[in-house]
Amino acid sequence: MKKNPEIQNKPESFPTDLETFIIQNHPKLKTIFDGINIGFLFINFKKRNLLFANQYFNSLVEKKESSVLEHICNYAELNIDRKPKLNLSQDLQIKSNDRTVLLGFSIYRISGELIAVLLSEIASKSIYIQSKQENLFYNKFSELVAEISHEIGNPLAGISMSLQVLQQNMASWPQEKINTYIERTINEINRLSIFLKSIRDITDENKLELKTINLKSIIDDLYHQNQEILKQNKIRFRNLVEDDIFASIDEVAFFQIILNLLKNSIQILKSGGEINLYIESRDEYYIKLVYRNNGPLIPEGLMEKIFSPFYTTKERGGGIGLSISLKLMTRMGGTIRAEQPEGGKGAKFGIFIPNKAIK
Amino acid sequence: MNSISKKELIPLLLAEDDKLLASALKDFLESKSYRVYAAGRCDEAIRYLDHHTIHVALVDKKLPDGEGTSISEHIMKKNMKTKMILMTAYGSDQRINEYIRKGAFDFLEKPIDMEKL
Repeated sequence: MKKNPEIQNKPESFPTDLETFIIQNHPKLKTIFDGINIGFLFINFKKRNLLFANQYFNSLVEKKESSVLEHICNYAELNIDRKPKLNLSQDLQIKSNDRTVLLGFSIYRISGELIAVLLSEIASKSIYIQSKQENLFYNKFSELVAEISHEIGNPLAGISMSLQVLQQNMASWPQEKINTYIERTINEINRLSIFLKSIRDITDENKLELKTINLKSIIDDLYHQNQEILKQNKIRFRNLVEDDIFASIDEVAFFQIILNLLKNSIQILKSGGEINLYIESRDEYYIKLVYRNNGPLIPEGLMEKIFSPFYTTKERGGGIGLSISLKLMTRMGGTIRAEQPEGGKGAKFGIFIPNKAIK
Repeated sequence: MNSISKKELIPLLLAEDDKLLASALKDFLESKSYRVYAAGRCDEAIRYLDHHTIHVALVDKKLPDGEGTSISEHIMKKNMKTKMILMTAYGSDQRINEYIRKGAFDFLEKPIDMEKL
């Protein structure tokens, strides 16, 4: 390890020579300290002696070791007795190799005059994280805007075209055909209104009421409500959830989540379709309910995307059911995701429901 | 005026998933001597192209099973003489070069102006 001559002298008293001690007795420890991307120091802050520094610290501060050390010691001396139980943290700006570096450090008192210090560069890291987050936000936002303008632009284009064609042919067309055009145009305007309402649904923040609910019985209720339509479409529905599973959920919200999945399945599944609901696992925090059907496989690249608002693979449909389900589930402290089905067939959704044990 | 016989109609593929727009366009184009093959999806449109000689394809940029440009890519790959016009719903000007590279011949921005069409 490269040492700065000014702070190289180790105290005789305590500990005799920490670095030599570590190298001789715990060589692996030295390798570990040198391998981490955080500056790590042991300092006697009263005597202002650096007892140990890992490689990362040396590369971070280069020739500024003594001024960094001085700053840390001053800070420790001023504050350590005032806030003996707290870890002390502060930012420090240094100029190293013509570059301004913002360091953040935390001081931990080991005993008496001995302190351990963790130190890292925070400026570039925080800018990087911020940039990443903003980029992610704008990507998602752009996708949303594109979906919304498609959803609004298409019906508008249809309405405009219909009225133009109607205007041109009004004189020659039979009344019946004119009526059909007007009717279709009104329907499209209604569709736009429904779409706008669905946008409101997504942003709706009704209060949820979490209660301990028996999962099997709520799924049975859902089945009974949809028995007819399932029968018409020749879809077999099996509720394989055990009798004794309780979860802390909002009944209405949970019902809607499963109903959204069911509605999608009814649209997608052909005659002979199957839907199975079962508990795959449970621990003290989450109950994992699986919703599975034997319809088409969800491509891996779409597994996340299908939960984005307005994203749809259906010819008709606003593409908001699953995004509402995800939003409701996360508001209840759980989540829902599409998963790779065992055997590579059908669609599988994992619904993570908070166990009633969670407060 | 003599009515146009079926043989003289120009075969045109219309790929548009919005049913209202598709039916209005179909009525309009049929009144202008086109024989319209209407498809609501890319795979359906490609089937028409493979089985009929289509002169013009009027294709929506976004279809339920993929991008409209996948149809022009198919046209290029199979060396077809079909001229494809892409209908774009929103100002996609920045991507015009990309669409041309993928074989689009011209563009129509929605809402479509009948005069222009």
